[in-house]
Amino acid sequence: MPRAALRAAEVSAAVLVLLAALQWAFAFSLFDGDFWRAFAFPAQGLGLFWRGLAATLEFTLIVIPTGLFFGFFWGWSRVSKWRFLSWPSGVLVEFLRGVPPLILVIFAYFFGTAFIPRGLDPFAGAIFVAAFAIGLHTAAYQAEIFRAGFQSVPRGQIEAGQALGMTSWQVMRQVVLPQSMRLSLPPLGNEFSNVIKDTSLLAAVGATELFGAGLEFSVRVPLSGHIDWLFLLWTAIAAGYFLVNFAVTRLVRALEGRLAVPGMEGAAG
Amino acid sequence: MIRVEGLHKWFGETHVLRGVDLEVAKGEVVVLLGPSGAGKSTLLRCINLLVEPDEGSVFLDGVRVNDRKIRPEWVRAQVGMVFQSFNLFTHLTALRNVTVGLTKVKKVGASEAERRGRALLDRVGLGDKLDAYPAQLSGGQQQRVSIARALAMEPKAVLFDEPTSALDPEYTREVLEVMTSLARDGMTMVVVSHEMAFARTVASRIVFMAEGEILEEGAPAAFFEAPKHKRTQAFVKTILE
Amino acid sequence: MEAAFETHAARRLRERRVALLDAAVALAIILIGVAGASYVFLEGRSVDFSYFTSTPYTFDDPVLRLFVGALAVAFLATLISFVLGLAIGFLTGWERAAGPHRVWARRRGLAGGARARHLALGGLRYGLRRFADFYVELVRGTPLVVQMFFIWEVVLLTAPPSWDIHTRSLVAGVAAMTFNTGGYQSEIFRAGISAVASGQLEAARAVGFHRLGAMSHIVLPQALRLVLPPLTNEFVTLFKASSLLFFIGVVEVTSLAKTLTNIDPKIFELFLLTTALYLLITVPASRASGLLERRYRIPGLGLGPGPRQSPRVGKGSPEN
Repeated sequence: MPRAALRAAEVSAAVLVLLAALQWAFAFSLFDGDFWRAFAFPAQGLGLFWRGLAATLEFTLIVIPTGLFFGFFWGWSRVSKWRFLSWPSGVLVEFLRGVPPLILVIFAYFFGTAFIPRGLDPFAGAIFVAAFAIGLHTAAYQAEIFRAGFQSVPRGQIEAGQALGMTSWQVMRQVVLPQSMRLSLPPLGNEFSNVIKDTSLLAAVGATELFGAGLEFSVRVPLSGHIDWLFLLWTAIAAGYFLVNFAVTRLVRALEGRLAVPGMEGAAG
Repeated sequence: MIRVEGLHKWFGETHVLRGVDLEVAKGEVVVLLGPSGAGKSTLLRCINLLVEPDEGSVFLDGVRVNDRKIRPEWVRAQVGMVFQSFNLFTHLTALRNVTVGLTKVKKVGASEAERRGRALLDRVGLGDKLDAYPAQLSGGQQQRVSIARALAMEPKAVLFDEPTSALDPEYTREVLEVMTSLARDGMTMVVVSHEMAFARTVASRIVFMAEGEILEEGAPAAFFEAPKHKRTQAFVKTILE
Repeated sequence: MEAAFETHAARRLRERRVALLDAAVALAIILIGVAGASYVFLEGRSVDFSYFTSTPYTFDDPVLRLFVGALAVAFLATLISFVLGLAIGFLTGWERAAGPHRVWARRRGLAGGARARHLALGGLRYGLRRFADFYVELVRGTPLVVQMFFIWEVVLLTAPPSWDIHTRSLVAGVAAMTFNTGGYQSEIFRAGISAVASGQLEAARAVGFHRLGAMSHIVLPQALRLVLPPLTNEFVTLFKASSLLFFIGVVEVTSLAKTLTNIDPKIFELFLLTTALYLLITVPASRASGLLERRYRIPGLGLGPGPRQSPRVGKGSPEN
C-alpha cells in the first residue's frame, strides 16, 4: 500500500475510533444539526465559530511577523561581539521566556488601557497591545532559534568569505544569512505552531477569537438544555486549531522544500 | 612582492610569532615546513590580514598593509587563500562559489563573472560540475573549486594552508597537479604543506619554522640534502623516513 | 617606526578600554530601560512596597503570603502532572520508538495457533503504537487550554457529588496538564531512545543481547542521560503552563493576580511580584537544564531542541 494512503487510512481510523469512544462515553452525536446551526451556521450572519476562526487568523498574522522582526534583531544582537547589544537583548529574552504568556497578556492589557490615545476604543486597542505582548513573547523564543542558526554556520566559511575580501556585512548577507535562514526554518515552524495556540490566551482579556468563541458559546449552552453540546463545542474548537496549525506547518514545510539545497541539513543540532 | 618584517603575534599569553622576517618575490613558490604549532598558519593569515599582527609590518608591493588606515578587505581581495577544510559555501553551486567574489567584491557584471567562472572551473578540470553543490562533490573536487574561487579574484599571490591535509590519498594527487600547473604559470604562492614530493619538485624556496621563528631557508635541494640548523636536521631526518 | 604604528602594549590597553566602555553602555541600557519602563507604567507615582504586606479586602492574609500559597498550588500541580506524565511519556515513548516500520517482529519457528497469536499481538501493538502517535499529534496540535476545558467538562459531569467545585477544577486541571505533558514527554523519550538505539542496538545484538536485554542494559541508561535536559525544559514549560489553570478557576498565581487587580489597582506592584515569582523558578531551572546538558553530554550524540522548545546554545559545525 502506498505510504500516503496508509497514513490517511490510519488517521481516519483513529479519528473514528476517538469519536465513537466519545459518543459512547458521553452520548452525543457529532451530527447534531441544532448544535451546528447554533454555533456555526445561524439564520443570519456568520456563525460564532467562523468569526472566532477569522479572529484567530487575524491575531496570528499580527503575532508571527512581530515575533520574526524582534526575534531576528534580538537573535542577531545575541551573537554580536558588542556587549551593549548582547546583554540587553539577553536580559529581555530571558525575561520574556521565563514568564508565562498569560501574565504578559493580562498585564499588557492593563497597561494598554492606560495608554491608548483618546478617540480610539480603549478595549479593542488594549487587546492589540496584548497581542503585541504575545508577539514579543514568541520573539524571545525566535531569538534563540535565530541565534542557534547563526552559530551553526561553519566558521571556516566565514573566514573564506573574509579571505575573498568581503566586508562583515557582505559575509553576513552572502554567507551567514542564506544558510542560517534555511537551518532555522524547521524550528521556526514549530514555534509558529506554538504561538497559534498562544493566541487563545487573548480570550482572557475579552477577545473573541476561536477559544473566546467557545467560552461565549459555553455560557449559552446550559440555557438551551443541551449539556452534551459542550463536548461537541470543544471538539469543534480543537479541530479549528488543528486546521490552522496544519495549514501553517504545511506552508512552512513547502517553503523548506523550495529553499532546500542538496547537502544542507535541516534543524540546527 | 610580499614582505614581512619583525612580525610578532600573541594569542592570550602564548607568543606564537616571534619576530618573523620573510620575503617572497613575484613568481616564487615558497613552501613553509615545520612541526605543528610552529606558527605557519598564523604567519599565512597575517599576510592576508585574517589575523592582525601585534607588532611588525606586512608589505604588499611595497605598501605597508597592516595599517589602521588601510581596509583589510582591499588587501584580501588581492591575495587569495585556499583552506585545509575547503570552506566552500554550502548553499551555492560550484559556479556561484567561484563567481560570488567577482560579483560582490570586485563588482564585475553577472555575465562576465559567469564567463570567467566557467573558464576557471574548466582550468581546474571541473567544467562539467558547474551546477553541483559542494555536498555533491568529492573532497578533491571541492578543493579544486576552492582554488578556482581564489583564482577568480585575479590575485597577486595565493596562500595555501595545508590544502591536501584533509583529503583522502586518492584526491591529493589531483589537487597537487592543479597547484603544480599554477606554479608553472608563474603564480606567486606561499604554501604550508606536508607534501614533501611537492616541496622538492615545485618549490623555489623552502622555509623552515619552529616555535614561531624561521630557523632556516634555502633551495629545496640544499635544504633536504644539507640542512644547517640542528633542529632542521632532526626534522628532515624524521620526514625522510 | 612610523608614528602611526601602535605598539602591542598600547593596542592591548586600547582594546581593554573599549571593552570596558562596551560593558558600561550595556549596563546603562539595561538600567535605563528598566527604570524608564517602570516610570511609564507607574504613571508618575512611586512603587508602593507596603502593598505586599497589606491584607486585601475579603482576604485573611497579607498579599505576600497569599502569593506564596498560590505558588505552592501551581508548583504542586506541576509536580504531580509531571510525574504522572513521566510514566505515560516513558511507556508510550518506548513503544513508539520501535518505529512504524517495525510492523511485526519476525520470529522463526512459529506455526499454527502460536503464529496467529503472535501476528495478532503484533498487529495490536502496531495499532496501539499508531494510536499513541495520534495522541501525541493531538496534544501538540491543540492548545492546552482547550484540552483543559474539555477535560474540565468531563470531570464536572462525572465527579462524585461530594467533591466541591474547587476540587473538581483542580483535579481537572491536573488531569489536563498530565494529558498534555504526557504527549510532549512521549516525544522526548521516543527521540532519546531512537537516537541511542539506532547505533547501539545493532552492536548490542552482535554481542549477544536479546532485544529486551539490549534495550534495558545498553540503550536505556544512555537514553536517560540524553532526555534529562529536554525533560527539565518540559518541567519549566509545564510550570509556566500552570498559569492556564486561571481559566478554570483554580487559585494559582495568575488568577490571584487578576483577582487582586480588581480589588486594589496596584497593577505595577502585582506585575512585579508575579513576574518575580515565576522568574524565581524558571530561570534557575533553565540554568540547571543547561548545566545538565553540558555535564551529561555524550559527544556525537545529540537530541537537538525538545519537541516544543527553542534550541539552546548551538555548538556550531563539526568543523569547530
